Amino acid sequence: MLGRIIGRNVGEIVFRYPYGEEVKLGEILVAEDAERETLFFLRVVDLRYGQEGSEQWGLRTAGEMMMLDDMEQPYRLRDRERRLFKIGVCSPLGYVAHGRFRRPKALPAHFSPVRRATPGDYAFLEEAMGEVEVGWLRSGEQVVEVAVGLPLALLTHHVGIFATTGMGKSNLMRVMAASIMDHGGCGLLIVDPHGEYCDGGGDSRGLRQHPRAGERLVVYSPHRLSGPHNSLLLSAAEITVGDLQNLFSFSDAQRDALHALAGRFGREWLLRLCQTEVAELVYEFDQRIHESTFGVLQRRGQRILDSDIVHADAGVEATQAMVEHLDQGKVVLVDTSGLYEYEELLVGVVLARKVLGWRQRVYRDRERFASLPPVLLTMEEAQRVLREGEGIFARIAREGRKFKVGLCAITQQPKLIKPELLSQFNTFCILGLADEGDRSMLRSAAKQDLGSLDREIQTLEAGEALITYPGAPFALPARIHWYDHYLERREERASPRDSLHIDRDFY
Amino acid sequence: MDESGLSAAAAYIADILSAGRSHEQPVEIFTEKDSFFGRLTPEEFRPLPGEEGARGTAIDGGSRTLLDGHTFIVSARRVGAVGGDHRGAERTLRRDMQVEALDRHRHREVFARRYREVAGEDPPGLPDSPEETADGLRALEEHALAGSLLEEMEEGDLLMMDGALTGDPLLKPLIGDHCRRAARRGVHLVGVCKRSDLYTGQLPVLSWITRQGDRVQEGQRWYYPLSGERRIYVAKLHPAARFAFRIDVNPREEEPRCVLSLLTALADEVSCLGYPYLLALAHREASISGEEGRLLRDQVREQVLRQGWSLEDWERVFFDYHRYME
Repeated sequence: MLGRIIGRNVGEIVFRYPYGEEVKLGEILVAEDAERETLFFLRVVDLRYGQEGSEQWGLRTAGEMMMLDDMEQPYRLRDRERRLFKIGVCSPLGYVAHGRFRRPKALPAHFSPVRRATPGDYAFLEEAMGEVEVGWLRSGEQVVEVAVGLPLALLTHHVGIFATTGMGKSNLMRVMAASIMDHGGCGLLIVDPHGEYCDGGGDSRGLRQHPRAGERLVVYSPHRLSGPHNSLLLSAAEITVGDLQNLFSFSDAQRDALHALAGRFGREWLLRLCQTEVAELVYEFDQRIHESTFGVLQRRGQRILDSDIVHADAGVEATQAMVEHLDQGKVVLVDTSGLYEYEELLVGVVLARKVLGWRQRVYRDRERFASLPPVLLTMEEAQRVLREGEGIFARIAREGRKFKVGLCAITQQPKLIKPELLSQFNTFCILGLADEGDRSMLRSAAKQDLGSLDREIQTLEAGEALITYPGAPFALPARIHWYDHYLERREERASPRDSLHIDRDFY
Repeated sequence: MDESGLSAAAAYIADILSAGRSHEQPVEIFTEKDSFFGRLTPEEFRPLPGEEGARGTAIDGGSRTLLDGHTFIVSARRVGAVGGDHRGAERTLRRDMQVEALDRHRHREVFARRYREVAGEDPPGLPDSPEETADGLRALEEHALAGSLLEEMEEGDLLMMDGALTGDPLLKPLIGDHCRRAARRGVHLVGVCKRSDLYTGQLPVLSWITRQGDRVQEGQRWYYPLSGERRIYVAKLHPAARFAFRIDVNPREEEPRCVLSLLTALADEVSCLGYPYLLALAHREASISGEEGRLLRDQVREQVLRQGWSLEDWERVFFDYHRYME
C-alpha cells in the first residue's frame, strides 16, 4: 500500500503517503474500495508537502537548520516518517466495477488504501486500445506493459502530433508508420522534409529497415538514394491554380487572373503563363488584366517551373502512382529534403488534392469506395497550412473523414492552427509543450478533459506522451516505443498480425 | 484607552529584563505552592559536557476542559509515553482518553479515589477546585504510568517526566516513592519543565538565569544548580538552543551533572533544539487538540440528547451571556 485517501471531492482526490515514498507526477494509482469491490483509478496531478504540525513548525525547523548549518553544528531530525509526509493530489479517471470502466461519478470510501496499479488492473483498457501500436502505457516514469495504440477507424478523424523540438515527433512518426506497415489496412503518406525517415540517421534505423518495407513501403525522392526508390516528379500540367493559392498569397485581381488563365488554357495554364510574353497575355485577355498582374504571376509561376521536381512534360507525373500505392494500403514516403519550403509544400498540396479528389470521385461508386482503405496524410509544421480556414488541408480537415482521408498534423505550435480546424482532430498525441498558449489551445480542443494535466504536459520528457481519442477511457499516458526497439521486439515476436483489413461496412 | 496603564505594564517588563543584580547570599525562591532557598550569581554557571548517546522513556499528559457548567466541568485527559534512544524513537504508548465530570462537591472524592488506586494510600492533601482536580488527575496518571514503566526499564535509562519533581504537595509521597524505586534500579528520573513559575521578589528566576548563562557561557551548553538539596537545575542542553529549561533531577542521584549530560544526547533534535526530543514526542502523543476536544464535546451532547433532552435544555445548562454578547 502506498497511502490512504484523505478527502476532497469527486473532481479531485487527495491522499497521504509516506515521507520516504516517491510518487511521480502523472502516475496512475488505484484506490481500492473494498466495501463496494470497486477500483478507482487516479492520476497524480500535483504533489505537496505535509507535516504533522502547523506551518509555523516547518518554518521554525527550517530556520533552526539554517542556523545550525551556518554554525556547522550537527543536528538531527528524528521520526521523519511520522512527522513528515507527502500529499498527492489526483484527478479521478474513473472506476472499474464488475469489469466495466465508468466515468468518475462516485467517491471511493473514506481512507481507502491507495496503491500503484498493476498490469492486471488495466485489463479493462484492452478493448479501448487501437490497432496502430505506438508505445506502452506509462504511469509517471514507469512503463506498464500494456500496449497503447491509436484506433485505425479514427485515423480519418485526423491525428494531431504536438511537441516541441527534441520530444520525439520523428520517432513517433516512424513507429506509427512501422505499426501501419505491420497491421496494414491504411495508406500513409509521409512528406519528409528532413530526409530522416527513409534510412534513419546516426544509430537509428529507418523505415527501409522494416522487414515489410519491400512490400509495404514506397519511397519517392528527388535525389539518388542507395536503396530502391522512385523519382519525385510533378508535371506542370497537374498543378492547379488552387495549388498555387496554398503556397502564395494573391490579391483579388491576381486570383481573378489565375482563374482566367486556367479557364482559357486548362492544364496548360502554368506553361502558357510562363512561356508567353506579358504583353501578349494582356492582349490575349483583351487588356482586362493589367500587365503588372501578369508580371507577378509569371514570376511566381516561373519559380515553380524552375524547380527540379517540376517537369514541363505532362507524362512524367508520379503522383498518380502515389495515390494508387496509398489505395493499396502502403506507406508512401516522399523525401523532400534539400528542397525549398515552397517545393515541399507544393508536393504536399498536390498530393493532398489528388488523394481527396480521387476519393471524392470514387465515393459515388459505393462498392469500389468500400474496398479502399483509409488514407492518412501527414503534414510537418502543419500550422503553415492550417492557420487559415482555406486551402486543401483545411478542406481535408473538414470533409476528409467522409472520403476516408485523414490528416496527421505535426506541429510545435498548435496555437497557430485555426481553432475550428483543430476541433476537427479527434486524436491528440501530446509530447510536451512548454508554451501555455499551445497547451491552452489543446485543452479547449481535446476530446478528453486535459484541464488537470497541464503540469504533466509541461513535465513530459522526450518519448513520453499523452494520447487522447474518443473511446479512450481517459487521456492515456504513454511511453512511445523507440523505433529501433520496436523493430527488435517485432523480430522477437513470432508472426505479426497481417492482412489488409478493408472496412466494407464503412457506409 | 488609558495609555498610562499600557506604559506602566511595559515599564514593569522592561524592569524585569534589565534586572541584572546577583544575589550572592541565598534568596527565597518561590514556586506556586512552596519555596526554597537558592543563590543567583554568575559564579555558579558550569559548562555542561555533551553526551553522544542516551536511552530512555519520556512521559507526558494532556488535559482539556470540554464543558464548563460553572458549577462543574467535564474534563478529558490522556497520557502517553515514548521510548527510544539518541538515534530515534522505538516505541510509543498512548493510554485511552479518560473523560470525567467533576463538580464542586465530589471532585476531591474523585481525586482521592484515583490516588488510592495508584499509590495504595490516602493522598497527603486534596485539590481546591474541579479545575485543580483535573490537573491533579492528569499528573497522577503521568506518575501512575511512570510507576508501571519503571519496572521495565534498564539500568542507565532516563525516565523523563514533563514538569517538576518537587513542589507539588499532592503528589509528593508518590513521586518520592518513584525516586526511591528509580534510584534502586539505576534509572535516572528527571522532570523537565516546559515553563517555570519560579520567582524571587519581582524577578522571574528562569529568565534571569537564561540571560546570565548565555552571557557567561556564551555559545556553550551550561547548567546552573539552583537548589542542591532539591536537585533543581536550569540547563541549556544544546549550544545553539534559544531556551534553557528547569530540570529536576532525582534527589537520590549521586552524579546529577552526568544525568544532565545524558539529556544533551537527546536534545539535538532540530525541530525542538535544546529540549529532549522524546519528551516532545510524548507531548504530541498525549496532547488533546482543540479538534479532538470539540469532537468529544459533541459526543457528550449527542448522548444527552439521545436520552430525550432537548438542545434548549442543553444550552440552559451551559448558558453564559458573555457568549451572546460576543
